[in-house]
Amino acid sequence: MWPLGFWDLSLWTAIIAIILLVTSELLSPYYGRTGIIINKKRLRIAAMIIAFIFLGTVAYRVYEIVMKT
Amino acid sequence: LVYCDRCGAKAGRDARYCKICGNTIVHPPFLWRIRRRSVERASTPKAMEPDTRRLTRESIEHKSATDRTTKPSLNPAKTKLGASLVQVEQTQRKQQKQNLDQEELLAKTALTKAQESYGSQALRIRKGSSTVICYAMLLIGTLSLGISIIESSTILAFIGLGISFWGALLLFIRPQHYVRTDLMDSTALSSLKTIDRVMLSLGYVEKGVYIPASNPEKAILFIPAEPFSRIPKANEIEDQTFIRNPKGLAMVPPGLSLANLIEHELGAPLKKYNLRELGERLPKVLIENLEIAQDFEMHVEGDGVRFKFVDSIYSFFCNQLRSTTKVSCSMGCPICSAMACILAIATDKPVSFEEDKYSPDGKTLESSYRILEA
Repeated sequence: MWPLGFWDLSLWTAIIAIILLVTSELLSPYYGRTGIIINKKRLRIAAMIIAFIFLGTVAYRVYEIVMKT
Repeated sequence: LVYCDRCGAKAGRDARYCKICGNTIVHPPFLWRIRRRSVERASTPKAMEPDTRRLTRESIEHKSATDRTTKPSLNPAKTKLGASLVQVEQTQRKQQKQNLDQEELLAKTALTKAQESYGSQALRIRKGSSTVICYAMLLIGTLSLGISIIESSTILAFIGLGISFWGALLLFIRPQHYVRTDLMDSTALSSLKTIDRVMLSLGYVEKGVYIPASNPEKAILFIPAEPFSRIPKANEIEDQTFIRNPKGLAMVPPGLSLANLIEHELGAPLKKYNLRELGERLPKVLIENLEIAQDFEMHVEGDGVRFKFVDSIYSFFCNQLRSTTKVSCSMGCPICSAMACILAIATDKPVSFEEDKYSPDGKTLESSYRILEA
């Protein structure tokens, strides 16, 4: 049986999104060249996708609360 | 251990004078020791494939080098004191000094070559190992996720999720192509030097004009033989190289491909942009997408347009080009040429390259252009 619930995954996506967004921002060329050879554009895309997944889970939670009341 | 040059007695690493005869001990230089280490490493079976040039260099070095780590044969005549002996010693020392200089030079060149080859090898190994690590992370993560489902363990599920996610992400964000800037510079420099030589020998030394064209190449560079009064139309010169009226040379601009790349990154044809929109969109493309410069500014003053690049990846190349050729004066370096092409295509008017200036520290490049009436 899958041990993680919906809210566990929501928390996980929140943490991953924060890590990736901060990394993506720190690697931005506006902060100077870091010398890390990675595809920064793809990193930003991944960070945005994870962040939107987290926002989706939050929206679902809000919807649930509104529907209960 | 080092040995005395005069009597051949052993001396410690820190000893400055020989304990037997009092002669000054000359220690081998640091670079020579490094070179010796690299030669030893290269001679092991795990080393790279034998290279004839490398072997030749080594044999030359062995001929000219003075080996201070092996004991020299004792010469009884050397132990005798006398004026003639002092003179012989002095000449020997001079020769040794010259040998040492040669050794240092050889060692320095060999060291640089060795470092370059080791660097490229290390990069290849690193690239390969990063892929292995990514796949290993994916495998471990998937295994952990599988076990977590069987055991109903939350901790294992989090671990598995995290590891597999980072494995997949690292695979996704790996760079596809990585080219060192010095490699790029050395590739482009010789072709531009050839163009410069051809232009100079044919007498085309005037400032170039970038003319917008309707053909797929989008812009043509026209270099007049003498200060001209008439700018030729693109359809008059696009199929020719040597133009007679007005006398000049028509060629593909060196920065046209870069201009096409910038256009591709902009996401729309350059003709759709006006100068104000270009000034808003270009910084994002040049700084974020292409990472050509750390900062970029565009100033429009009447007919004149000025671009400012801070810490551009082309700065070293353009500096080198300026110092060795006259191409940069007539048509600009590749980045200046690309900017001229962009201006010509966007405004649909001929653009003349005025000048490019570097700040004293060589980090900031300012290039000026003038938009001409067709």
